[in-house]
Amino acid sequence: LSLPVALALLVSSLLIFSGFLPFDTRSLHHITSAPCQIAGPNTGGNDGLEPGQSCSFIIEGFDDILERENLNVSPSSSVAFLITDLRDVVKITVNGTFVGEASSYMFRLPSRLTTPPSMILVPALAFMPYGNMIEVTVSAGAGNSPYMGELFFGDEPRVTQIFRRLWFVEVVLPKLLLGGQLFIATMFLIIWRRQQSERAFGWLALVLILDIIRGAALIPALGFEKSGVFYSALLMPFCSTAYYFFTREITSAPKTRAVIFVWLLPALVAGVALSLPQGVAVAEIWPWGAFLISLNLFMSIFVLFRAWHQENAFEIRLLLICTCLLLGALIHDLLMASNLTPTNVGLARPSFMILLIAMIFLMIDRYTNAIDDIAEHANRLLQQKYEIENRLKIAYERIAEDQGHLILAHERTRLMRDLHDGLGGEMIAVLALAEGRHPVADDIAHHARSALTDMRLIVASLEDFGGDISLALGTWKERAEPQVLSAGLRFLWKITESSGRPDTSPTLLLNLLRILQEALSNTLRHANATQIKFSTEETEGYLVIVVEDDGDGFKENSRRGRGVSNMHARALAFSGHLEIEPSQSGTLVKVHVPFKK
Amino acid sequence: MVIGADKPVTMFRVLIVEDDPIIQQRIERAMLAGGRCTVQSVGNLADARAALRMRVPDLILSDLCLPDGRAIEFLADARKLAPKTEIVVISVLGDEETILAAIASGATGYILKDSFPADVHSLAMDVLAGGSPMSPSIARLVVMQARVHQQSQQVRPLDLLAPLTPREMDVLWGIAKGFSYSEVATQLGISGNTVPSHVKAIYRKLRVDNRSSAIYEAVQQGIIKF
Repeated sequence: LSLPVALALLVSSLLIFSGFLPFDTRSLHHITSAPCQIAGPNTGGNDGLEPGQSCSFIIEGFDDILERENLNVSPSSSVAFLITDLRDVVKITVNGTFVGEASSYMFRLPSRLTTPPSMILVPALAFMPYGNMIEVTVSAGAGNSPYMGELFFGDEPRVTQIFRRLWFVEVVLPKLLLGGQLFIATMFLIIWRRQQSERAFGWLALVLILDIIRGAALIPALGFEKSGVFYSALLMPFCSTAYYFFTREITSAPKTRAVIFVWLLPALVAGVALSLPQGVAVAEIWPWGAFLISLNLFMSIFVLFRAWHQENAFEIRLLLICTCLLLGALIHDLLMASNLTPTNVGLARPSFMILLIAMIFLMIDRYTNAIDDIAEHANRLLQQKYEIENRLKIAYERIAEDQGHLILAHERTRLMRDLHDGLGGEMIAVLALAEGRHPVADDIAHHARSALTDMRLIVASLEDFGGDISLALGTWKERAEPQVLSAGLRFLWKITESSGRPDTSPTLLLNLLRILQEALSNTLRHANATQIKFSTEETEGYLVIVVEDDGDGFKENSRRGRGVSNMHARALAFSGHLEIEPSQSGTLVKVHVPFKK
Repeated sequence: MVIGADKPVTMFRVLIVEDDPIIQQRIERAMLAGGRCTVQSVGNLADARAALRMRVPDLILSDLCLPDGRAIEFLADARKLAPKTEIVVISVLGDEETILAAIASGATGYILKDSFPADVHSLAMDVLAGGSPMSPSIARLVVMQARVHQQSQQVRPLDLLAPLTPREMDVLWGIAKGFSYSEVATQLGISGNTVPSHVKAIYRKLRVDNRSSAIYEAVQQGIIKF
């Protein structure tokens, strides 16, 4: 338990108790205490008055009181009487003149909670210098026996001050507490709704709600009758049962089904009370209610005591202490109801308030701890996430590096093969021809030019065309056109835009350009053509590059035929294919280049 | 009878800067065979500078890598000294890096060392006539560079003195795909004469007149080799 919570608990307990403790009334003159209960002028015994009776008495020696209190009874000032609690009307007569009366709401409980205080102002002019006679009459309505608590007398400011404090404690504070309880009960109810496994929150909310309903009967504005107060008090056994379940939950007591029967007892008492006539019920049932509450408290104490050594020992010890305190206060109040105690101040209520506050703070503490745990957990997870990300990054970098090496190795192999396929062969031909017995300059030049052309194709295939194959073709045209023109042919270039985009990897480009170059060379060398035309078509999934000449066409198994099988192989290498057909006026080569998917 | 013999034929002065004597002779022969020009050949940058000081040529055909250094600085100086002089770079492969360096040096085009003589001469005449030829590979390179620049704020190797206009980009795309100037003009719905002027404008924007530019640095430091 954190220090702030403990401090808050202590301070609020002190506040509550100070509110219920007897006031320092030394500044006032104490005239009498419960005069109508002790042998009054009109009664014969100690047992108080019967309903319908009234009691009146003369305050003896009032002149002495005035003198002793050193009251400045100037004509403009007032003096006042303060009555701590009363039933139902108190009248005061000074020297035979009626000067004022006080009446009270009637909502006394069997446990003798005090009623709101009353104050009667008397103008100083009503007093004579000597021989004042003050008469106090206490009377009650039908069915009520008249009662008056303590009677004080003093000058107006002092009486007012004490009166206000009493009023705050007895009238305002209960309402404030009820409001606060309602708010907190709602909060815990919401927490429980969200987190139904945390039953302790639910039980606490139930305890609070039952107590709120009971307490609401104490508020006069709600218009409860005396009987209403009694019946709402029947909720307290239920409330104590809910508390018993709360302690079971908080001590993680083993869950047994049988425990549900604990609810039967308050239900039984309430049922009996509701079935009996009102008067009988009020008289006969409340001891049973008190017994049930005590029983529940006993059981709670037992449960708490058993869990004394648990990990959350502080919570449990605090609850144990508060519960014991409440049980003691309850016994005290029961004795008080039987007139076995000297005081008239109920202790059960403030003790219960302290228990409630302890519960509330414990549960808030639990809740905030849970939130802290979650936050910590989230932080840890976040940190783990970063660590994992880091590890992944390192792993990824390693993989990328490996892949880079792999790609490099692959590219190296490819480049070697490319060089070997075209350039190498041509260079060897150049060498062979040059070193031959009768070197022919034209043949050497032809092979040297082929080698150079192939080298340019390799270089071109490695350049960046931004994925646009028409740019690659445009660059190749720059090389092809002079070859065609110098051979005296017409060069027609009708390459157009395509809707799809073929792959433009170096491998594909080199294979494609070599196919085109081969087709071009074939036309220039063997076809006796007058023109060559390059154009594009599109079929399903393919860009088709069409090379068309107006030459002789060709025969299979000729030298030209071997070049053709090479072209087919190259087209297969990029998942394309080749169609070569003699057209009416020459040869038609169609290269199918697949579009990227 | 020689047609046009009565008209005075303009003789262009061509300076060839090439250290390989075989290539030098090959280009020299190609130019002379085509006619309409006089040729002076040098084998290194020092001689090239001397020749430039002696007499400003109409066209410089220059290799980029010479025994006494890289030609990029010499070409920049030449352009400053003689703004009207056209430059064409001689290259082995016509690869990306060579083209970049050629453009940065203010070249209007490049010829391959193994080009057919007729092609060498016709390109040179085309340049001299102000035709601003642009090859698909140059166009593609510029397009790709511009696209890279649009897509990211990366440092691009190709500096532009001013951003290219959408119409200039359209022209470049057309050329890059292998269309002739007249085909590009038809596709874009502009007159045939407009395309060369667009190309000229593009070349102007591509020239690296600033020696601290990325391409200049890259060439000087040998990051871009040719």
